[in-house]
Amino acid sequence: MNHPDPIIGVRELKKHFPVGGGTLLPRKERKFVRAVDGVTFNLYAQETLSLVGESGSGKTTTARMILRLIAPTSGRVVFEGEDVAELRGTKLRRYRASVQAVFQDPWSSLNPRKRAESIIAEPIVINQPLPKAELQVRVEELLAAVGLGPTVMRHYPHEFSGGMRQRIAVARALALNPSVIILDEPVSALDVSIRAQIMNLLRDLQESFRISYLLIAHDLATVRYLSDRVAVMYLGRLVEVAPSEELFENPMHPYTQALIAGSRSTTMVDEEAARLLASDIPSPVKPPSGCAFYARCPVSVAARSHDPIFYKRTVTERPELIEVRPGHLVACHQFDPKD
Amino acid sequence: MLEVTDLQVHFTTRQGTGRAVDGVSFNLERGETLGLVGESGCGKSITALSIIGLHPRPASRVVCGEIELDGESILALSKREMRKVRGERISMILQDPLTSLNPVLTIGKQVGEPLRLHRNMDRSASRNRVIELLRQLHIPGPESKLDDHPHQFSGGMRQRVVGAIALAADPDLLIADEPTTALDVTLQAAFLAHLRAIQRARGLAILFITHDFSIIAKMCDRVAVMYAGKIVETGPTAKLLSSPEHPYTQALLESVPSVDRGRKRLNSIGGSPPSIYDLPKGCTFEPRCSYAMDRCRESYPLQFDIADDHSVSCWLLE
Repeated sequence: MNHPDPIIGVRELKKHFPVGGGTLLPRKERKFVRAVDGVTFNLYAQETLSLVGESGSGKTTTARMILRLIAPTSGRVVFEGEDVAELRGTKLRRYRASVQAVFQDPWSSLNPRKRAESIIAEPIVINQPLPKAELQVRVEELLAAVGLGPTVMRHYPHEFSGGMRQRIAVARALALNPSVIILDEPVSALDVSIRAQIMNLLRDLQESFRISYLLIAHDLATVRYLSDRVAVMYLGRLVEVAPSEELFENPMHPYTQALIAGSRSTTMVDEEAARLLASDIPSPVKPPSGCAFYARCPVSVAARSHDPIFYKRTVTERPELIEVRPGHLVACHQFDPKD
Repeated sequence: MLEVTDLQVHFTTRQGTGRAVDGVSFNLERGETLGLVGESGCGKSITALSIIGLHPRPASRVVCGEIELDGESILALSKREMRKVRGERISMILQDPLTSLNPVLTIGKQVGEPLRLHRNMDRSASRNRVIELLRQLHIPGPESKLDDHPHQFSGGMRQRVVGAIALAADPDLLIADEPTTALDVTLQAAFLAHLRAIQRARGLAILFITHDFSIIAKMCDRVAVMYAGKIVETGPTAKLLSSPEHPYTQALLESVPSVDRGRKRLNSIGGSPPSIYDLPKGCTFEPRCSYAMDRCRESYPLQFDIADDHSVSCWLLE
């Protein structure tokens, strides 16, 4: 793919949350959860980039930093050449209008005391006030865009089904003509039959409104259906980034391979692989000094007996994210040219 | 081994009588896994709960039908006898491992409870058995985990503990109601592999409720598709997934994304399932069905056997 400039650039982004005594303790004794530990990627115009990984891998924390809901410990989020953390006043408002979000649970993301029309109109009223009649028209347009008729305007969220609520959440995200929408598990709270409707809607809107999506999801079937590129996160770091087709057809990192094998209907994980996978994710407070995946990795575990040098590297040395094919990046010692 | 015949479970509420389960029949053999699929609210869970006598009461009751375990009716059993069946012969794994464990009891106590109550084991015998069970489900260092409480365990480990409790008394039938929905993909794959291995070793029969077809394909020998309280199609897994005959099964399969199918556009099913308090007179799927005929509005279709073990309730197949 030939992308000129990214819309959003994420550079060495880190977020460490204090745990235990946190910041009250003397500096030496402080402990931190490395929720996001050095993540770099670009989001290009009109593409869908997915962040996938297990719970606790740092996907949502990354998204919250991009939305500027929390401040990074270090690293930057760059929007139109400027560090998002530095934005103030008009520029910040413009950023907030350009980058919108749709959250997982439409039961908690809509204000139960507001009617659908004021939920959708609120961002416009705050950012780009319009005369009442025009506002009304605009809300109707937005509702039509998400497949709802003007009759729903006067209703409250509790009167809608899950699918309709999620449509309203999408309409609100579209209200300010954003260039990016962050979709945090947008269909996982919905019933199977509704998911297809919302996923098709998201695809159609992307085409007609020319939006970029950053999709956060743990269900790989959803990810494959919606994504152009996929970034796999493990314990706060990216382990593999590739175009979607390439990633699903030719996954290189053993963790990605395990994720995909687990989602395919044709492959049954054998007992030994299952035992490895079931061993728990290491603590993000004290992440392993080498590859974060080594204890669950079949390649590393097999190397323990017949390739001790390689095994030692996986335990002690952190693999770098390296471009092994055009657009396909992997952080795994197997593909490190230093060998 | 398990035979359910014309089971009907009705809810009586202010809205009237709701037919949650409306004439469901199926059987399950030793060592076999039957998948029960369908949208939320189609009666999957109520069917499962009524088999172990735990459907919500007094709101719902079994109004007709028969449930037999090894040829013996279990519907007419007394509370005490039913408790014995639940402890020794049928057990169940629920969807959410976070809420199905007691937060104030230790893991050892919870896994050991069925052993002490139903297998009359003493403390030390049950302790050894619990350690063995936890080891079978790959919980690392089980000896040291007995005195831990559920909050000290991760989600994946908790679900394995729930599995250990369900398998503790060595049941003949396990009912698993969306057991992996709350788990990450890798843990899900691991949990299913453990379950499969234990099933093979013990000849356990499993009734697997899920809406995930990739799990059905991996785990189930046969599938029954439910819609509005009825089984509309049942058949061997491979056949049903590759050549579904009922329009609802076809629509359902076309509406779910899968890793294997890529970006091919999904067809969503228009409309929503009918209210169980106001079911249509004819076929319950007729209002959403693209093949609907006059006949479908008049009477509910008969069940047609199109092959060994593959039957469909749809007038198209007459």
